[in-house]
Parts: sequence; C-alpha cells; structure tokens
Amino acid sequence: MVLKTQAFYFDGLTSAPHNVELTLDTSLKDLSFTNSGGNTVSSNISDIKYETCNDRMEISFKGMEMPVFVENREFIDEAKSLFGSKAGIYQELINLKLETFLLITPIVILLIIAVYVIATPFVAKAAVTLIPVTVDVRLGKLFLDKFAGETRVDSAKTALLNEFASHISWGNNIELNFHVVQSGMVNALALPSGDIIVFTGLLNKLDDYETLAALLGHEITHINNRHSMQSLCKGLIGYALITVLTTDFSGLATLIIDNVNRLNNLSYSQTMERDADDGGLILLEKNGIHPAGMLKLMNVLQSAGKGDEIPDIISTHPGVEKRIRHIKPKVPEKTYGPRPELERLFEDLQDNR
Amino acid sequence: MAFCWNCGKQLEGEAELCESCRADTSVAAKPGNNGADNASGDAAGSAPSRESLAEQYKLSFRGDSGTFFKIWISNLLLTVLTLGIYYPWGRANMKRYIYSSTYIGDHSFEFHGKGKQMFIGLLKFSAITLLLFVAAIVAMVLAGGFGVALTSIFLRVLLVIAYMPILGLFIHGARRFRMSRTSYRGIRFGYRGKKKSLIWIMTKGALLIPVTLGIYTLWLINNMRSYIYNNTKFGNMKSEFTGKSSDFFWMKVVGTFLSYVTLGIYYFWYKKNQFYFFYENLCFKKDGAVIEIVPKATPRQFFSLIAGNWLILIFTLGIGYPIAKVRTLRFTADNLELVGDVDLNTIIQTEEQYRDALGDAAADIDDSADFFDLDVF
Repeated sequence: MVLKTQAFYFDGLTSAPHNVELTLDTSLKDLSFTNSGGNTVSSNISDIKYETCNDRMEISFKGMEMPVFVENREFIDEAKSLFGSKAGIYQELINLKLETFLLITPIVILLIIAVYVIATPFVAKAAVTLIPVTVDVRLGKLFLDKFAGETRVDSAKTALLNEFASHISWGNNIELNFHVVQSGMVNALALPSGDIIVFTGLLNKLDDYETLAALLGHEITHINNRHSMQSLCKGLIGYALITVLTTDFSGLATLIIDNVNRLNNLSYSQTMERDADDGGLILLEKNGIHPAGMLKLMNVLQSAGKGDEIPDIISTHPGVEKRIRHIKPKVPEKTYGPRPELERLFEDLQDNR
Repeated sequence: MAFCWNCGKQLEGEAELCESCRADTSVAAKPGNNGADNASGDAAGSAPSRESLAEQYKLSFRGDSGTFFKIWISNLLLTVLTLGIYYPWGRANMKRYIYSSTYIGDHSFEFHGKGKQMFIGLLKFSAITLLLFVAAIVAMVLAGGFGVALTSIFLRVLLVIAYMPILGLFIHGARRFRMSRTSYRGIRFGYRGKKKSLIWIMTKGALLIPVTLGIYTLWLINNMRSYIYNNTKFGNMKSEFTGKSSDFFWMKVVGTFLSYVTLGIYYFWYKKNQFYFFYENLCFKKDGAVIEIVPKATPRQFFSLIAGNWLILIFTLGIGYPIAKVRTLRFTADNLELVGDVDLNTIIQTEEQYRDALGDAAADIDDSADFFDLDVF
C-alpha cells in the first residue's frame, strides 16, 4: 500500500516552510519525499526517528538535519503502527494510558518517600566519612568562642570535672575538654570540637558519680559518632534531594515538603539522642560504672520538668518517659565495684557549691 | 543572470544556496511548491504571504494537562529510580513538550536541548557550588583562630564576591544554551551578550544590595532582564526590552504595599501589572519593522487563574500541579497578542548566526540556573 500526505519542513536558513508530499510505501517499508531542490530524500523506516506531539508527527530522516512535519491524522496512525514503538523506557511510559498513571502515581509518591527516608541518612553517613574530623573541631571551636564571651566559666569546677573525666576511658578520637558554666539551666551540651559544657543548674541536681558519668557518656557519644556533622550533612542532602524532586512544584507544595523535611530532621535528632543514651550505657558498662546512672539521670531530668512540655513530634529530644522506657531494660541487675576516686571528685564538685 | 531573491546578490551558476546569505535559491524558482494548500506559503521575495499577519501571529498553547501529567510523573519516577541522575533528562522532556505545544500561528517552538548536555552542565554547576562550599569550610578552618565575628564576615564576603559573579557566569551560559536550543520555524534563537556584562551586573548587585538593604535587588533583576533581552536574536530579528528599573521598582513596591493593605485584594492588580510591564516593554525588530506584544488579561482573569490554581493544588495535595501549569501556559498564550508588520516567512538565519549556534551547542552549560528566565521564550 502506498500512502501519500502533505508535509512540510524548514531548511534552517529561512523561516518559510517547504511544503512537500510524503510517500509511505508500507510493503517496501520506505518513506520518501522530493525536497524543494528537486532531490528525492528517502529512507527505510528502520532508519527513521519520530516523535508525536499534539496531533503532529515529527519525522527525522537519517542524515537530514531538519525534521519533516506531518499533521494528517490517518497517516500518523498508519505510520506509527508501521514504525513501531521507539526504544527507551520514557517513551514506553508516555505511551501508556492516562488511567494507568492513576496507579503509577501513588507508587511514585511511596518511592519518593522511601528514598528520602532511607537514602538520605545513608548518604549523609557516607558523606561524613569524607569530611575530616578537623572540620568538626573547627566548627565546634567557633561556637565555643561565641559561648566563652557570653557565659561565666567556673574554673575551679572545670578543673575538677576534667580530672573526673580523666579517670574514665571514653573511646574518643579527638581531645575532650570539659567546662563547667555557672547557670541555672538544667542542661549540658557537646560541641563537635570535643568541648563539653555542663551547667551548674544540672550539675547540682546530680546524685552521684554514676549519674555524672552517665551524663558525660551521653554527651561524648554525640561527639564520638559525629552527630553534629551528620545532622548538617543530612539537612543539606535532604534539602538537595527535595530540590531536585520538586523544582517543578509550585511554591505551596515546596513549602509543605520543606516543613516535612524540617520535621524529619527533628526526628533524626531524636534517633541520635537515643543513640547517645545507648552509647552512654555502653561506656559506663565498659568502665565498670553502673549503667543505672543513666536511669538516675533521666529521673533528674524528669523531676526538673525537662523535656515534657514540648510534644515529641516537634522536639529534638524524645520525651523523658520514652527514654526511661528505652533505657530501663538495658540496665543489668549485677553490681559494680566502687570507684573511690570518682566518688571523691564528685563530692568535691558538689562541695564547692 | 540570476539574482538571489533574498539579498539580491548575483548567483553563481546553478548554485542551490546563495553564497552570500545562504538562502535556498530554489525557493523562488519554484513558487507554490508541489501545489500544497498549506496556509503558510513560500517566502517568494517581497510577495505577501497568502496567510494574513493576524493568522501568522496568533499565539496558542495546544498542550493538555493529561499528557503533561504523564510526562511529569514519568520524569519523577525515573528520577527517583536513578536517585536524581535522570533529572536533567526529565527537564529536557518537559521543555520539549512545552515548547512544542506553544504555537505562533500554525507553527510551534522547538527545544533541541538533550538530557546529556544538560546533565554535564548540571555536574559543572554542582561541582562549582560544592567547590565554593568546600572553600568556605577551608576558610573557616584557617580563619578559626581569628574568632567568630571575623570568620563570619570573611565567609559572607567570600560568598558575595565569589558566588554572585559566578552565578552571573552561569546565567550567561544558561541563556546561551537555552537560546541556541530554541527554534521557531527552523530558525534558531541566539544570545549574543558578553560574559563580563552579566558578571559585572551581578557583582554590582552583590555590592549594592546589602548597602541599600535589599532595595537594589529590583534594579538587579531589571538590569539582568534588560541586558539579556537586548542581546537576544532570532535569525535576523532581535528582541528589545525597554522597561525602566525605576518603573519596575515602583510597580513592585506599590504592588506589594497595596496588596498587604487591602488584605490581598490588590494582589491580582499587582500580578496584572507585572504581566503588562514585562510584555509591553518587549518587542522584536527586523530592519526597522517591529512586532510588539500586547497583553490583554484583566485582574479578574488573574484572580480566576491564581485562585483556581491554588484550589487545584490544595485539593489534590500538589498532584494536580500539571493541571495548574497547563492552565497558566494557556492563560499566557490566550492573553498575549502579537502586533506588527513582519512577515514571519521572511526571517533568515545568516551563516555567522548559524556558526554561532553551533558554537553554543559545544558550550555544555545547562539552564538549571535560569532564575530570570520565563517559559515563554
């Protein structure tokens, strides 16, 4: 069968279309036309590339720079069935019915969520290994500088605390420095530089050396596991992933997704806090200090009213109840030998009140 | 003795193409090619086209949200499965569809950008951004000894001095790429601006924006837009943008202020003003003839568009994005009218422009940094 249709092409030199008659020989599987120079351009359909868009077919002949356009519906349908479908997974997808996409769409959404939830922390952890620890230290020192200017460091207690810590093996890979700061705040924080700050507000509420050791163990685990750097990387990667996936979204959708990202970052923080609790328990155990110290620390935090005002979902820390529930089963029943030197130092820390 | 129908130079023998302007000599030799009754006739010298200019100039968007939805979801799926690598190919797919669905008269735009080129460009862009990030960290490590205040000032200065001009460079490359990959009726667009000009405009912005508490940003945007559109060519046509930065500034300031004061009601007048400002100040010129753009939309129509899009997005939780996008594209095409006296069959691409386009094709910078680009061009 021989099909003929009107077609046109542009020569790239002027904007006027060249109208031609396209001939499709279905038995010879040959497509041809005569161009405005009088030359016949023909090709076997296996050498033809084509694309359809909005009721128009664009046919690229091998060796011809400019495509030929056809708008005849019947010809296009006939040609498509003859040319066969183009290779490429994208084309296969596009040719599917719209109804099929109602099925594909939820799958895509689930995939996006899965990649975001699984891949992001995984990639972040890998990224952290590429960054030298020196960067952690510098970052931490930056904050410390700012801190030092704004707080009252208790130098006597600081010296005592450093001595206390020197009796315990922390498994650290950077130098640790402890600071006691005069403040009513019932808190302690660990900077990625290895500097740990304990506020007297919390220090004075601790019962014994085991509790203090538990506190230090928790903070040092943050440092050992480079949680700050992980957070940073995770935030950046999560943001980059979101940008790539949603650049074509409207502002509204981006805003929603951005906040989901923020919430997710908080929950990652909660994971890190739990890691720090676990890490602290291990450090206590390794040093022959009763892990019950961690439980006692939780009780101190609970009675100080810490961590229960903010709902879990938007807090960086899991609620104290939740932490107690997590830690309790991990505390062994056995007894541990006394540590008189730690006990003495702890008393000194309290005595200088 | 035969003469070129286009430039008038004497033709050499039986040459198919004019040596001077490369016009197809056979076009004029065979008027009314093959008895086609296609409305767009041949460029037979100064003979007027059978199609009226009004028909030639009619803007329309012929895409549909169903197809766009399929393209969008397919892109998302392939992007997720390749952990983001497919992204530039996806963008090329989207652009191709949008361009091929945007018509002036009976012919659409074409986008020739390939995913691979855009991927390489994106890698370059990411590499440079990463490099700057690493430089900032290194700077922090080195300057750490000088304390927080000095370090943060240093970083800010570094960012401004390094990043803004580099962004200018990327916008330049992005424009060159996008224009060289855009064609209409087989004629390629071209961006002929100089690298250093955009870099300088961005640097000025970097220096003046903090000093003017952000106000200069509007001058920056208008200056960029102005420079870009005053250096864009389409064959032997060129675009011109005459919008003044001060007008732009007042339009934005008054618009924003009144939008707040009227609790959002004025917003739709503001959007209309922005639309008009851009298109009324843009035109295309060729040998003294001009094609101007006349915007038509009313604030009420903007309300329909914007409110409608928001409802669609909210009720579909964002999945209805393709519907909103197609609505917007169709709205733009339906509310712009081209007016002028240039026969669209008479645009020519000179040899030099053709070579330039090939040169651009070798410049593998993508248009991921197209903050100042609009989808119509």
